[in-house]
Amino acid sequence: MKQKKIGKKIVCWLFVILFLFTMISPMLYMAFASFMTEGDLNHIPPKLIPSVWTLKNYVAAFAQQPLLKYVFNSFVITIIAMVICITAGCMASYALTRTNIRFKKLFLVFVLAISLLPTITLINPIFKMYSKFGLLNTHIGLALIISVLDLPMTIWFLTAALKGIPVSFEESAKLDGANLFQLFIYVIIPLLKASIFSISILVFIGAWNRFLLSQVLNQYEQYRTVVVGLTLYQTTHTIPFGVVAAAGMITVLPLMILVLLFQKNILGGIMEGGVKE
Amino acid sequence: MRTKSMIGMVLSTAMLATALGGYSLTAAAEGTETQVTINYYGRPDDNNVETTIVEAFEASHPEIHVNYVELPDSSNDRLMTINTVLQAGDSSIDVFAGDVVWPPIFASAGWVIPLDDYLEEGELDSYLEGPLSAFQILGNTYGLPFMADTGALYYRKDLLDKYGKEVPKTWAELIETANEIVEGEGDPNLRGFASYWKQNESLTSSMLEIYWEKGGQIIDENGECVIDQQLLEETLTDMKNMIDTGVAVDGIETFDTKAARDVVCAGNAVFARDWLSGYGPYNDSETSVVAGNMEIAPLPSYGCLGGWGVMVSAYSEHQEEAVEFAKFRANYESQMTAFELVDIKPTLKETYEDEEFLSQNPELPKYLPALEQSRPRPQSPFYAEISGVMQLEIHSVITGLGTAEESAAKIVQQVQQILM
Amino acid sequence: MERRAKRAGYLLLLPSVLLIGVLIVYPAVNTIYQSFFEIRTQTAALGPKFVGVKNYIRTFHDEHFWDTLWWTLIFTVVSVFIELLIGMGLALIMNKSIPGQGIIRTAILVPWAIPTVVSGIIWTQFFSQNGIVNYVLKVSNMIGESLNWLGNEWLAKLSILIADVWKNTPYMSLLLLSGLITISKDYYEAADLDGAGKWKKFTRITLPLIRSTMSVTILFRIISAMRVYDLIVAMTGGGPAGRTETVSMYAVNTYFTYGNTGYGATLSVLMLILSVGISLLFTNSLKLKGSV
Repeated sequence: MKQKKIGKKIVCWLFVILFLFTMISPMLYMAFASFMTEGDLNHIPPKLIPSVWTLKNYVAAFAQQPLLKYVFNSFVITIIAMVICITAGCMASYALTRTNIRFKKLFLVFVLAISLLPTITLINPIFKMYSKFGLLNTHIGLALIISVLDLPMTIWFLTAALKGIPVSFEESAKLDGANLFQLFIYVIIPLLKASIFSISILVFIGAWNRFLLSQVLNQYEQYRTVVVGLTLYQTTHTIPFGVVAAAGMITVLPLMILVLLFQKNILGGIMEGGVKE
Repeated sequence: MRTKSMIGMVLSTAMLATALGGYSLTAAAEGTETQVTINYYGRPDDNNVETTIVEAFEASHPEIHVNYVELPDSSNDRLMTINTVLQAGDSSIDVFAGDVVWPPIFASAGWVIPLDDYLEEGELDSYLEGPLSAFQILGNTYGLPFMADTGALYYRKDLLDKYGKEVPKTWAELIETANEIVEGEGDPNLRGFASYWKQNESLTSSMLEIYWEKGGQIIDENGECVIDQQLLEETLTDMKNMIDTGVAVDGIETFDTKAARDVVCAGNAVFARDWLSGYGPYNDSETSVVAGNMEIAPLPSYGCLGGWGVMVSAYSEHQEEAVEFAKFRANYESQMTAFELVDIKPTLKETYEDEEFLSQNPELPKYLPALEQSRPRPQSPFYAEISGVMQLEIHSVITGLGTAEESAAKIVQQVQQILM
Repeated sequence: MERRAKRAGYLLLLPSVLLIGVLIVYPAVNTIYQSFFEIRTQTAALGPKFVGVKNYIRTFHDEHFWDTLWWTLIFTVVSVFIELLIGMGLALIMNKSIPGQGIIRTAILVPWAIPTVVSGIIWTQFFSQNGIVNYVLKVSNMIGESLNWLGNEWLAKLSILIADVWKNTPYMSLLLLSGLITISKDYYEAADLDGAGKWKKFTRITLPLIRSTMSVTILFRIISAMRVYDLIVAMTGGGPAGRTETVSMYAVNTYFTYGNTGYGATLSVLMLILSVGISLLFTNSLKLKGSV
């Protein structure tokens, strides 16, 4: 019996490892490619591991474009967008689940419907608007529009999460004399930690990867984001894949480190705490 | 409480970020108080070519500051950004680099100004006719070309010499020569013809080059559709045959520029159709096995004119300064700089006649024959849509998803509808 | 007390309303307005021309529109379905306390974090004629000759599906995971005492309790999938022969490359109506009536 169980477990694990490997393989390829010479990259049949390791791509990645500035811009814009989105989202979802305002369902459906508008239709009107109000080529301008794009999803998601949390916690806090603000900070947010964390990551990465709007609204180099910057390595019909891979690595690694750190801090804790009655 | 400190951290970062973000355009984008600042939406800054030219301009024109905005290489991406700004009637673009197929669209939209009033007598004569004609609509010049490009035929000189073959003057000859050489070499990896027939603009260009040899036209001077359906069908059949008989390299219908060039550089193609920019990579000894053996010739009949030029926006608030820069960007010095830094082929006649320049750059004259035998793509404001329709149908035939007969009929029908 | 709660509620809702109202409602109204006009770059000098429902009638005859729409819908359904299955599996794994949990979770997020620009290039390389997938398949003797991944209609569709599933499964799994975490362990303990097997625990406890999270996740993933653009442009450019072109690609081309703003707006409005329809289906299944 025990052998069967162990056997099954090993097979299960093999599947998981194989699967995880497939998930990471493109990134592995990108990692290796960032160290390959051009000869290796263009080689037919394709080379998986560099025959000659070189740092040329990384040097070029920084030399051809102000990559660090782009990363900085992306960080600033993404964080602002995330903060706006989560804050407004939390407030809205609380209002929708814990107060007795009218038109709740209407609001939810309206918010959803309006978010279904294809992003391309936003480009021209937003450009005109921002041009008038001097919001072009700023951090706050781009951050505002990006935050709104994920706001409906955030509201819906947090609303669903809040619905699943019993009101009893807040009742006891109210009995202790907590006002709305304190209720929010000390009771609701800790309970929603897991959901807020998940949705934050998604908003963060979604904002980080936004291309069309970033390209059109922040055209000047000082305010350019990294995803737009990555397209500028291409010259006269060819993409220097090695350089783009190197730039890609520089873009992705900080994100990964952030995620690794944060998920341990918050998600790990919640496992023990749980939502025990 | 940990949550509290986390919230605090995030909030303070956000506040800091907002404070930084509150900054508007920094000094680098603005000039000093007496200067006029113009925005130049240029080509990619490969090897610092654009910034070098901009600096040279500012040195000789201290009263003008140029804010260079880099746009991606893909023509469609650039179009999207420039389109958005001009459609809003916004003044943020003063002067920009435009693809040779854009002038009809922009001119008919009224988004660019004619430059004739700013040009002196005979100034236009210094430009090669082909590239210049692309920017001339109804007698007005809407831009100045600074990069010459065309579809050209590349061939393996060593192989042609080995078999005593001449450079083919017709497509039929090309196929025949290719087959002979491939058979003679007996190399399983070698193919007769390489190009990139992925569903994009280059595919339409390739088709036009074969169609033009048969004598077909797309539109006439009035902008009406004059496609010869029979000839079009033959063209599509020819292209399909090249794939079916193995003359064309495997996967040609999925290739983009890079994939095709990789095949050529690995020594696996006898002929190739590529833009002028292919010459460098093919003969780069570091990455190409056939360096020194790939030569260039005009395509049978005509090659598709390509290239870029500089245009001035009709919404610019500094039109005079913008035109100054436009003229500078397309002048002799700038084009020489561009050639030296990034191998961009010049559009000025004197560069191809200047003895000193030629002695330093001996391969330059090789491009002339192809350039002289090039023809612009149909100059209609609706060209983009026409090309879109054609790309789809051509690709349908070469991937076997449709017959040449059906696709030719569909193309004619849809083009007529677009031009109605 | 109640009135104060109501007022507080509206105040809390205000930022969202403002943001969405100014930044999204205005463009939306603008787009709907434009769809009734003929606005083309080529005739920009003449100004917009009111044409009523002419643009909408044109879509009925527009074969290309229906082709792209059909493919977009199929793509959406298939990819979301696969992502749901795999995502659920991954979420269950991530939920367990095992060594290396942090690294597994981070690794799973990798596909989502790589900018689409880069992953588009990588997957194009993988599936190209002389790319890694063909190489691996040939080396392991699964195929004799290279497969024409990006040139054959069905292989191209498959390769796009694979790339998209790869990219978005993390999104699914993360959201599902956060739903799983909120399920109290007590339920499972009680079920164990009753001798319930894994499958029963899953279907009777897990599924019902994460139903609302799962529905929201699926809904937004569907909406996202319907808008897929960057990935397909990078890999096939809509080919072969426009077979992998989606509605959003057609709309973008119409807007920017062909310069036909009026018709582009019409396409966008139709996409909007379709998305609203799908969402209403979901809203009903979520049975909001009793709970909000």
